[in-house]
Amino acid sequence: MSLDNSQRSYLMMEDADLVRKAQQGDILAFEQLVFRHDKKVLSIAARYVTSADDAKDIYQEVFLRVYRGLKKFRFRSEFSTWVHRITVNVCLTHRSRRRRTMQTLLLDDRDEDGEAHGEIRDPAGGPDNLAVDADIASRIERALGVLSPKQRMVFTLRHFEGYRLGEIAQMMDCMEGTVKRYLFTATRRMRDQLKDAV
Amino acid sequence: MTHDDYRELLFIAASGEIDADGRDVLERHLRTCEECRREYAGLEELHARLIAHRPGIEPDDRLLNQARQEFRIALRKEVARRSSWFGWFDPAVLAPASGLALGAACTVAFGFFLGRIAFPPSAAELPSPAVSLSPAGGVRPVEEETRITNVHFAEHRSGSDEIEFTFDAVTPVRMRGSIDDPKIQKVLTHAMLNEENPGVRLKAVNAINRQGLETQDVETKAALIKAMETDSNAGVRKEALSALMRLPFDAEIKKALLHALMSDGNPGLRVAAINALDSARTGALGVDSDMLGILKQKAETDDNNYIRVKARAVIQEATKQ
Repeated sequence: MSLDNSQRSYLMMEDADLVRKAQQGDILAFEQLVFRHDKKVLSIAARYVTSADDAKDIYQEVFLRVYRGLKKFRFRSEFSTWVHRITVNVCLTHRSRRRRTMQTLLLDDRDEDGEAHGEIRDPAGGPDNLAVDADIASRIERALGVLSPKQRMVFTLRHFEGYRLGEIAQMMDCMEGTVKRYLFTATRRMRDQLKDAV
Repeated sequence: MTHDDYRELLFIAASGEIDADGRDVLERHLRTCEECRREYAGLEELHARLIAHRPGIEPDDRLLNQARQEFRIALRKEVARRSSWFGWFDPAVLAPASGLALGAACTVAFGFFLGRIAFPPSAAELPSPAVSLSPAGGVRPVEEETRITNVHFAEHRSGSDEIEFTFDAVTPVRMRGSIDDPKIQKVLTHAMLNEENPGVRLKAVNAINRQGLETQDVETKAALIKAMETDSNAGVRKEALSALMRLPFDAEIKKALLHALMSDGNPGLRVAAINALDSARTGALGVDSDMLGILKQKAETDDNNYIRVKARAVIQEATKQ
């Protein structure tokens, strides 16, 4: 006895077939696509942001955008490349819950004249902070904070996720030369930030 | 080549993207240039440190399952939202003929709305409350403990001493009875799927697991399958799997186990799934081509050594028969 027709083969189907089914409204096919690709999405998100909540927010936003845009997917690229491109875009535009909360707290911390109290700290941290911070991981985290979102994304994808420059260019929808430039600048800035740690 | 060209090659080499020709050129240059040797060593050390101290958070199984669980809820809402709204904005609906009908319906609805504003209903016309606090068979509400929430006042009419509002009445209910009572099972399956506290969900699965086999129905099985596939807590998923294995093995349970074997992030649960499939394969369902395909994939790609070995063993046994 084998699985019935509605159930059979989802686990074995090619991505393209699942996408076609999902485009016709088959939610199980869509869920199967999510299961296949979500580990990579979460991994990229988790390396890019600094909290589990933010990583989950990005995960959810990515797959909701995939769901909403699925009918327009025309198979001009691999489904996985498309999902990763969405992941990169969501990461680049993501505003962390922590930062949102921090901004709210800062806004709340104003007197009647609207003047804010307390020091607004640069979330990236400065060289002085680096000098007194003994924890190398947190120093790397801070150093990453000084990069622009695109530099940080390229750096994360290359060094922590192991993607090749060509793949990163596809994900970011730009030329490989541009990716190289981002990576070159990011590496130089990281080395400058970590020069007393490396 | 200029010195800057060599520096770019250094950077490409440190990124792991240099080709053989480039590497030869760079190695020749490094033999003669002390500055570039230092630069290269610095870049390599930076790379090694970064790998050893990856920033961010670990995307582990727990986080993955939480993300999946939360996404499922969001997806359900999205699907409901699309089905309730997008249908109305389908271009086919707005075709000239249907557009006319829609326009007429809107006019009637708008007129009805105006009428309700001009002539509001009297209290006698208002619908009765959706909830009843009167005791019902076996259920003993503790009325003094009823919690009133979500109170919304309707607009007060001047000159009237009546007020109107709606509210949610949440009343604690104590139930006692046999585990085989369908009413108790209904509450347990609801708790298993909807309670926020994983400890409560686990207790609910354990209770269902104590049921007599003859009293377990299709809904209970479906709830157990759903819990095994989607619960964010691995303990709950594992208990749901155990409960399912007490039921007669069928295509639905087989599909759920294959799904767990393929997709669950927790290796313990994948091990339990492959063991369950192994012990069930001698039954009526055997090993079909779907199962064989998945086992082959797991034999080659699963991160867990036991699962790879077990999958190979099951395939070997199945192909012997």
